[in-house]
Amino acid sequence: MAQVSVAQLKKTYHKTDVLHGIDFDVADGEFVALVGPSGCGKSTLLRMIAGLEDVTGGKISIGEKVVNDVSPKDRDIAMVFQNYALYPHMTVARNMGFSLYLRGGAKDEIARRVQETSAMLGLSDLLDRLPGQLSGGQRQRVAMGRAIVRQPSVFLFDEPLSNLDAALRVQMRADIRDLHDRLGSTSIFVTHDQIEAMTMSDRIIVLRNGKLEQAGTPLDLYDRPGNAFVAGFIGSPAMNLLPGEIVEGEVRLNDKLTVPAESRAAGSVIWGIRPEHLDWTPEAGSGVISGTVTGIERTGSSDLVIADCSGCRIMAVFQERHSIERGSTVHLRPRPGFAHLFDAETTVRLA
Amino acid sequence: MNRTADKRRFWGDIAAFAALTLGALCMVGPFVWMISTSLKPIAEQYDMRLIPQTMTLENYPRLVDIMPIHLQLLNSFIIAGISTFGQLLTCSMAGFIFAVVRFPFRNVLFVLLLITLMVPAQVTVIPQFIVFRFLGLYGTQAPLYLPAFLGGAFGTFLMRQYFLTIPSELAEAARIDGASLARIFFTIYLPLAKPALAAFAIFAFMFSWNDLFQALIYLPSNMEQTTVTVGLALFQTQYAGQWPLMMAGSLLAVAPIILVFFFAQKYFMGGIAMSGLK
Repeated sequence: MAQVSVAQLKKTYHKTDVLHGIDFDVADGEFVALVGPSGCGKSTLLRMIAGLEDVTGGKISIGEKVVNDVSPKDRDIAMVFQNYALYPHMTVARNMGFSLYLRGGAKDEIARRVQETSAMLGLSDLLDRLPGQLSGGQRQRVAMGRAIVRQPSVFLFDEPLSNLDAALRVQMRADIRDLHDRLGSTSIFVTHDQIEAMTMSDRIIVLRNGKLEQAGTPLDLYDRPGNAFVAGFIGSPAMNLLPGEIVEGEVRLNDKLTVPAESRAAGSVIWGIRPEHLDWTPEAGSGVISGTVTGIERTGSSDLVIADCSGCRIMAVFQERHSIERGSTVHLRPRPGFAHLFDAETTVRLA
Repeated sequence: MNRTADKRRFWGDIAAFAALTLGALCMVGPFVWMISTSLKPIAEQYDMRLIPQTMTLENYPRLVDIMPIHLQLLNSFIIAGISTFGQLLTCSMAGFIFAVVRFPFRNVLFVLLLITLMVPAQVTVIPQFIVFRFLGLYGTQAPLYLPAFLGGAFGTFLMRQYFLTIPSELAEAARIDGASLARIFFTIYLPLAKPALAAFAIFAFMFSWNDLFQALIYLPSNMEQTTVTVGLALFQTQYAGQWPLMMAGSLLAVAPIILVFFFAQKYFMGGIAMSGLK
């Protein structure tokens, strides 16, 4: 097992900067998710750790060793690809045993380890099948098995769940986390899905445009997003973010809409509140946001209401069912202590 | 409204079918005629019936008596076989490198390679001849198959295009698994390229089998050591007018190609569609 550390890592493709100096550490045995919108450089970063991309600048270390110029096979890593990258003409057993075979392992030793791993993943009956004869979920498991069988120090996952259907994804989320805990390995997991990141990881690293936006535990990022981007990216449905002006202890969102500021900050700000932190109230009043319902999504467990509040689009989630319909008026009270303020210019969180 | 559309489509189908049938007849006609003539006795060679009045196989043994066509077929087979192997090996290697490995000036080099497709074989024949004579290979079969081991633009292009369709993650997964470039090529890419290899093998075999020009230049001009294409050309000049014999020889010469087509047409069509050429 080993820690991974990335220092001032830079990547340039054809004179375009993809990563602008990224710094972070992954502790031994930690499960870290790299998240960000597409094009943020998260996959490139993972591929650089794997050794599939050259390093333009900075350092990558695995264990105590700088691996910038170490070939992928000598980095003691295993990677699970988004499309699984199983060898289509090899059986499940050969796919899983291929790396051991290339390392010159003894035949019965390879067979034993493949058996062991496949039993752990429930693949024992599929060892003689070809990847083409497997379902998506089974292929995903084989890809995992191929990584596990080598007992690497670091597991790298490149959006491994995005080709699965929703139900399977939820199950594999738990399974992967479970495997991680059992094997005690270090894992780095790339995803664009913040729910995956939130539910699986010990720590989340948010990237945007090749820069690190924030790193922290899932709840840290949810409770205290460091800037407006992280605030909007983490959490689902996304946080309401509205530009406003602080005047006399109140945030003036527009001519008709003001909410309590709960801060001594002044000037132009972005005011944020999560949909789940807006409470339904029967009547309008001071500090209450009133608006017309323009959309409503009922999932059974909760109602998502989209309202037009004097020109601001605001989303709210209610656990209870209220008699709301499209076109009706709704009154929302921001739960005290749950609003966020960000600097309008830099979008950085204000204390 | 719908019925007129149906009707129009019906007549459209009929027209297309008729045109295709006509085309097929034009293609098959000469072959049928060749078979028919090869089965006629010499005396009836100008008899214009499609089904011979007297059907006979005597032309075949007579042909072998006059010209050792079995030896020529063997020569053709050896040359075409070795050069097909050479082409498959070197073109797939070159195609793999162009498709998978990133190196400086890769695209420039690839375009240069493609440009060589525009150089006709006749242009290089004299320098090539001088080289082979210098090597002491003039008069042997080697000049006909050795160049195949030096790659070829068409095959490299074809194989590269196919290798590009294989997801690059396979090579990356293999690199992480610890495979060398050669291992990735032989264990992963080559087995996956079987359809492309089969299609290209047919192209290469046919090209070499049908070659008259190079064989005429390099091989000794006696009937035993030459290929079947040269043999038939010589036969035509020496035994002009003996059409049934000529057709029997031609049939034997094209039979292997037809057989290969018959058994591998699936790959062959796939190959044409894949290359997007010809």
